[in-house]
Amino acid sequence: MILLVLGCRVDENVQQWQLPAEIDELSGLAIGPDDTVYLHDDEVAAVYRLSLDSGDVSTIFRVEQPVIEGDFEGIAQTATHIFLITSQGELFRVPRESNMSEAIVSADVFDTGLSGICEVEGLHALENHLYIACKKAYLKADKGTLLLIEYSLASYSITQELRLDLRDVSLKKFNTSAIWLDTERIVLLSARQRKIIELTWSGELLRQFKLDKSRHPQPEGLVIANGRFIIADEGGGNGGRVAIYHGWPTH
Amino acid sequence: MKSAKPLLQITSYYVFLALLAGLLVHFFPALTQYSPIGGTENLSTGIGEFVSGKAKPINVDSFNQMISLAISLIGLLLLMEPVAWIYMGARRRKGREQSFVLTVLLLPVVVAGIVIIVQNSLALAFSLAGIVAAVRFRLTLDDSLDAIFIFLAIGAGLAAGISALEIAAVVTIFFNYIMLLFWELDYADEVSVNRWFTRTWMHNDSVDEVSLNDSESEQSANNPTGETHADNVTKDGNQQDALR
Repeated sequence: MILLVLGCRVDENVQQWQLPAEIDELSGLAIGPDDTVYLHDDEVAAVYRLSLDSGDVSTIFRVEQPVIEGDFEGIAQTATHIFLITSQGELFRVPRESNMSEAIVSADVFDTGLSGICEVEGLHALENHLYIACKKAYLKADKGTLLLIEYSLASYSITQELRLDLRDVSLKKFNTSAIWLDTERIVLLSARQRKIIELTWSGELLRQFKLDKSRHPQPEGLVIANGRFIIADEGGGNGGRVAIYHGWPTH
Repeated sequence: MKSAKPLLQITSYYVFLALLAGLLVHFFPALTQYSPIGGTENLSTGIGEFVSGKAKPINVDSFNQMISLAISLIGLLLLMEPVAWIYMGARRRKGREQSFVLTVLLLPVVVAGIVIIVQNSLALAFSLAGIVAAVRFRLTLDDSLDAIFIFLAIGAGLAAGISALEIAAVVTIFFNYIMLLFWELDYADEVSVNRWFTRTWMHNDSVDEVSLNDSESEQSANNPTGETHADNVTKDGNQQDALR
């Protein structure tokens, strides 16, 4: 009880949803249409859609029946497709259809070739490329760096590997759990450090924030839309959470 | 019926609690948002089929959390009071300590607080193991039934900690009535055991009981060494029917 009192503060700029218990192992977020977000399961190829306004949530599709199981760590959407990626770098591509609901779909599967390079933990789509964030690099040369892979959706191959030295950004350690980016900045989320950092494409650290532990027991997904930070947390058995910050999630 | 008075008292108490809860909800409907009920809905896990529903808004405002916790703990104390009464009345024996009774009352409160603090964490499983171990370490339980009261206290605290006070209510109410019934019947005490669970009952027929006794006596007389008829036949093939 004492810890509860000492840790208290009032957040007026945040709204948080508790999802049904069946949607517990959340791992990634992507923006959907009409003020919604796509969420995906960590253990199976299932994608849900949550209305940020009303809280309505439903399954939009599952890949194959029985559903494909794996360690899914990221989701991204383009105008025509929704992508899921596993920690071993297996990329699943599903055609994006309007009004998709409770569908059993097939997916095209691509091997990104990352299984020997790093443990994949985040995915984001930008300008006909996918950007794949690594949580843990396997190669000795990549230890202590933030590794970001640029993957072309034209050729379905790796086009660039970005390495950002953590010492350059004064970070002792950062285990990436999710990534969001635009043409000017890269925003990364770490579940282990419970922190968000914002970098330039050249690696300059712009901002970093610690997340409130009581609100974010295990943050795994991040997306930014219309000035709002949307963060998904695993539920630890009680149903996942989605928090919507109107601005930066200050602490 | 010796349990008539306590039965009436705890029944009246539960009726009073139910009326009080109903009146509070009726006149202060805003209290329902702090209700520590329904928490087990959030415990379902697993890879289910298609999911369709509505997310619930979370209010991590600490003040609201404190109100919810306070209501949960008050409800827990009110539910554990009759358990303490039953223990003090039905378990009248030497060595009953005040500290044990207070433990039964206060342990659930502490457990509920710990559960809320570590909720949403794998550490919950280890914390619960630690709770049970710590309680067992500190308590010297002379009687196994005392352990049941302690487990009940822990269970009620767990239920309140996950906002499932209704489970604590059902379990403690059921437990109290059952304890009263057993106390009324002197169930399983030496007198009732001797009255009901006789050898006659075990062998299902009084005639068989007599035959069995005769057979046993005869065997003892003819086999002072304790050897059986089968043993005798085995040793001496000529003695096919040693008892004839």
